[in-house]
Amino acid sequence: MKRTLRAFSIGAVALSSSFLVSAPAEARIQIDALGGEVEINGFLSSEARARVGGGESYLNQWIQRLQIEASANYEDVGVFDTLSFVTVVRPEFDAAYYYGDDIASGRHRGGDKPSYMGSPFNFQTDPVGFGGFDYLCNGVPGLENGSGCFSTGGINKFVQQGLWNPAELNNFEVILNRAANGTQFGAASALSGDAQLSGFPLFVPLDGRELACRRCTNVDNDLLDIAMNNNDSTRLYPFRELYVDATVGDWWFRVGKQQIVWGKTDFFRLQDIINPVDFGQHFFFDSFEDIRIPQWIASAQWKFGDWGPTTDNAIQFVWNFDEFQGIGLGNPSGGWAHPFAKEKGTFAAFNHYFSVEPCLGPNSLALLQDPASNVTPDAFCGSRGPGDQRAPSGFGQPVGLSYEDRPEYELGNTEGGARWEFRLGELHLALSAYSAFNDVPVFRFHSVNVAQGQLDPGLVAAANPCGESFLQNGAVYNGTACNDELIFAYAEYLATDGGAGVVPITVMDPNQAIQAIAAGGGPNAALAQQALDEDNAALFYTGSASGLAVLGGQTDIQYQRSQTLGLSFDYFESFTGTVFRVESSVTIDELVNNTRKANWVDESEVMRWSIGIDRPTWIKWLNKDRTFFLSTQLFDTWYLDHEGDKHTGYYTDEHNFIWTFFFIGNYMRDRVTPLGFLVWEEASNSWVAGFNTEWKIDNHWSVKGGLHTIWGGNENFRHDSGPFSTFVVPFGANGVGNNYAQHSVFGAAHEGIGALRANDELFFQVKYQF
Amino acid sequence: MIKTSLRLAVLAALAAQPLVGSAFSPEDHMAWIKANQEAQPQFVDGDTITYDKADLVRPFIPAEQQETVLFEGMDMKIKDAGDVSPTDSYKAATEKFAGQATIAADGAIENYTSGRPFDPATFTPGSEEDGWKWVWNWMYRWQSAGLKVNEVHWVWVREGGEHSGHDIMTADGGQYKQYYTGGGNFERVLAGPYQRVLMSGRADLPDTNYRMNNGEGFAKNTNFREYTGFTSPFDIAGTAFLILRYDDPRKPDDSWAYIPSLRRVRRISVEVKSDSLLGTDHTLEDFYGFNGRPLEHKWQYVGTARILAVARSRTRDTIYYGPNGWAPLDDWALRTMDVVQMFPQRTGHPYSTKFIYSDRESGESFYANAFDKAGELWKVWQIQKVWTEDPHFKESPVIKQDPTPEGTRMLAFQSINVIDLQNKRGTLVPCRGNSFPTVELSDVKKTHDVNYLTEGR
Repeated sequence: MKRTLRAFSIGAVALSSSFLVSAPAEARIQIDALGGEVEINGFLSSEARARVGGGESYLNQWIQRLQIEASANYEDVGVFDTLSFVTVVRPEFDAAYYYGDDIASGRHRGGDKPSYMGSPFNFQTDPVGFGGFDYLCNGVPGLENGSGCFSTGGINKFVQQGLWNPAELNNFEVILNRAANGTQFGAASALSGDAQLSGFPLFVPLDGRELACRRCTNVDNDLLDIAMNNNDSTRLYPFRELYVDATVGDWWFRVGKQQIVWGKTDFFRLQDIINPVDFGQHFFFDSFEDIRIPQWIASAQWKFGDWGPTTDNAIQFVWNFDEFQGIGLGNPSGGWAHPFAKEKGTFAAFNHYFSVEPCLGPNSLALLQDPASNVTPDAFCGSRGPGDQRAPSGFGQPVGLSYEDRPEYELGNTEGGARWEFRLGELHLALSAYSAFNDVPVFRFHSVNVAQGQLDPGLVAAANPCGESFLQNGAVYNGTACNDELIFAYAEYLATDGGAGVVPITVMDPNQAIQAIAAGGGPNAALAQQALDEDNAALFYTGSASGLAVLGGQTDIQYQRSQTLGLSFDYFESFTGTVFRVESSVTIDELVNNTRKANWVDESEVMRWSIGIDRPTWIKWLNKDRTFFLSTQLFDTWYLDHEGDKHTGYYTDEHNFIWTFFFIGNYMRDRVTPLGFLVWEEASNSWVAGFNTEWKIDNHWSVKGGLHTIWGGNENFRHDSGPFSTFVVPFGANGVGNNYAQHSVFGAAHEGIGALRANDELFFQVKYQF
Repeated sequence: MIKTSLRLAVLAALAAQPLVGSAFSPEDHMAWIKANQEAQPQFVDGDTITYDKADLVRPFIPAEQQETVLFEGMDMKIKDAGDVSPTDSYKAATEKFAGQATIAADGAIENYTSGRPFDPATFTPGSEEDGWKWVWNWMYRWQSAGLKVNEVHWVWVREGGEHSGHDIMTADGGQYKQYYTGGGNFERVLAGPYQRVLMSGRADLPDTNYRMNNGEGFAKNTNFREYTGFTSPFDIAGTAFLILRYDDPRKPDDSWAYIPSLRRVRRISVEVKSDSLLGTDHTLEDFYGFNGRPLEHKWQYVGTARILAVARSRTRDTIYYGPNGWAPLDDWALRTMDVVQMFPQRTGHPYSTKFIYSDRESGESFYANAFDKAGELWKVWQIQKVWTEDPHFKESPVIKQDPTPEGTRMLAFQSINVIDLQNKRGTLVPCRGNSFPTVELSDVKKTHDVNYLTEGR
């Protein structure tokens, strides 16, 4: 189906382009056909976006887009006063993404360079992802820089074991690699033991490879599909909208794939929550009209005029019967992929590459002949047949993102609500109620890997697999060399549930894990009990990390239904000529991430409000013929059940204020339109500014050029890593003092808009409309 | 005989004073009016005025307009418009409520019900109070239930050049080509529907207190609701405006706009009314000649003038011609007009003053001009009308129209053209498929409700 639609879209572009070139210049096409009146209009555009931030410039996106809007309109059909069949078709192609190696300076598909927020993937930038536990060997003569002291564990083992070409590693990048003191993380300095130089960088796959993440969206898309924006956020591509419109008296019905827009706020969405939005294509720089994700919705609106003291009454009922769709964050390899999209790719890769049992490759065949090794033929990848999922990178313990728990497509999981709009005196108001799943993903630890010694004091000595003695003098530990057998021991223990593993682990529910540890009498029992008493799991995770009590865990993405009530109104103040817009919403039991919870999941009442002010204003010295439209807004998201501080708990502040300002000017009879905006996010102290000018040459041709720049968000970039604290490098070195509040996983949230600061861009667009 | 000839020569000389936009002041305009008030026409019904005879008509065309309509190749047919007075219902209401309306200290009208509130025959030139009376006569002129236009074109034309290559000339099978003859470079053309629905002062509704729905519910306290939409080009398609004007002259209008890129209705500030509408040379206040709120200005009655205008077009839709493609090719009737001078009060208003000419008999406007803040002539407006009772009004050749009841007796809005003399450009606004349909409240609730702005989008 996807191939068919892809082929259709390519054909549509070719056909439409040739039609546009050959046909006489026409405005909207309007003909009598299909028994009614058929209208067709749209545009063809080419937009080039160059990244200019971060000290490097290259073509980031070059999008060719065709949009066709067609409708067949009828009057007086049966009971219908009007009846229309409408579609919006929009195929597109990002040439910079698809030909990245050739025209995007080695980015994107086929490229070998990282993205705006990435670094090359190697041992220095991500020692754990690259070399697994190899970094433990750092400093041991002959084993400096993790020279493969372990045969398995870490992505580079594919290369070391002879299963991958080294160039394959160029298909990964490393993100969120700021050290605790803000400098760039580097393994060499981090392993010096200075906690301020610690880090937990993440590697991200960039080539759309298939990853073991059940029902995960936008993780392993086909690269051509990514280039065509045909992903999990654009179902039924290239049909963007497809619906039937009908009016019967005072009733208006619309059924089909559509956008429904409530609310009065620009840039942000309080009541405007029916459709999710795709922020992964171009952040919020494109209009919501273009990035709102149309859904299959049935809408019925009844206009009933006046009622009591109110006039212009209308009530709209909305039923979103589409399969649930969350917010779009882009594919990890996309030019504007959101940091959370990249992290999703990371943790899906963790699950794919690290959860599996380890195995050896062709380069280790000699071990079979070595009587000193315990290697058997079964230790080799693929030796167990076609279903052998093992990989040299594996650690044999569940870790990473295993599935996205999207609501199943069934009647009970559809969404819906109503809005009542009316005028009362000077105010134009709207009240809304909507029941829906949160479209922002919430990560949940559904299991953590508990070192058995935490549960059984008899195994306490085995908590540190290599022990301080090894690190100090290379002596063997407990009669077992700290080598590959350690890795296999994990697997063996898991497989036999009580076998001869060196460091046995038990996979447990996070809440049960902490309770069990508290009851276990082990070295961290008191800490676990304190965490339970204070309802702060972060105390336990970070406090016990150096003792390797919990070795990561496996996550999923959760969604939960909540109810949102909204109120908005606008008011015109005549003396100043100013329009005031106020909008507010309260969401009850919104699912949120809280790293003080054992599984990172919590609920909160969330109130959002916004005040906007609009005023067309004469600035005669700039334009004596036309006013400037000036608009400013203050927006707040208030988490009423907020918990935590700047580095633990919620990754947002209790209040998150955002201020926006924008202006639109008009020159040359509105044919030249400069537009500028400025956004400030208070919590992260980050800024976005943009400016562009569009020139409408005539009824068909227009050009537009401008820039976007992001800065700030540097003041706080760290959040506690919970069960991932054990993966913070240095790994347990120096114990207490390690800084487990890191750039990943949620530090990027503290950076806010600033997390994309390296993606400043210049852009230029040519458009032909018809 | 010699004296008459001399007098005519002097008048012609004054009338023929070359128009230099930057040197033409409001005082010059007033002087022209005064100089030509007593002029007698030297043409008769049926005459065709060509350029060599242009001096004959100069005393009857405002000086600043002459360059626009008098040119080599002109073809101006003189034809009396006949009786274009409003309906008997309007006349009856005028008579019934004569003397009832009053002007308050701030200029607001009070105690008005229906009909023409004040007798213009009693106006005194130079009177500010009569200026207020004029504007309320204008606001409550006979408009039936309100104008509906199924397709308004907004044509941005620039002086010189030609427009044969513009897509409007080939759109819809080239059906508009016949209307855009002559020269002038077309830069951009917008299109869309329009409708005003009058809800109070309805002389045709004596049985419901001269109000729609007896002034209750949706029509409560409302003078009119006005919808303006745009269907092309693509970048503006779907944009629409709704304006509510209230009965209380002191109450500001409420306005909303649907912005397609937001898919949302946005309340807009009344300040926009004095701003250019979407880059045209009109402001929202310039529709019809004047469409603003009287209390935002001061008014002074100037006097009467006999003016040639396209008062009763011989064609259904305006045919443009001339070197710049902005003159109407049509019959011209000599009309007695009341002239008023408007003084904007908002400091940000782009005009320093504006003159508006309205027809004494019908109350409709045919001419206007505006001066910038420096007092220099800036824009001129010409408005062309077609009579609803004429046979050719019944059938719109290019755009489907709604039926206009027999006996509506309206000088229907055929086109309004504004010429920006300083920037040598203009905006032509021909209105096709126009009508004065009977409007039921249920229709208004469907199409002139704020919520309608999002419907079908």
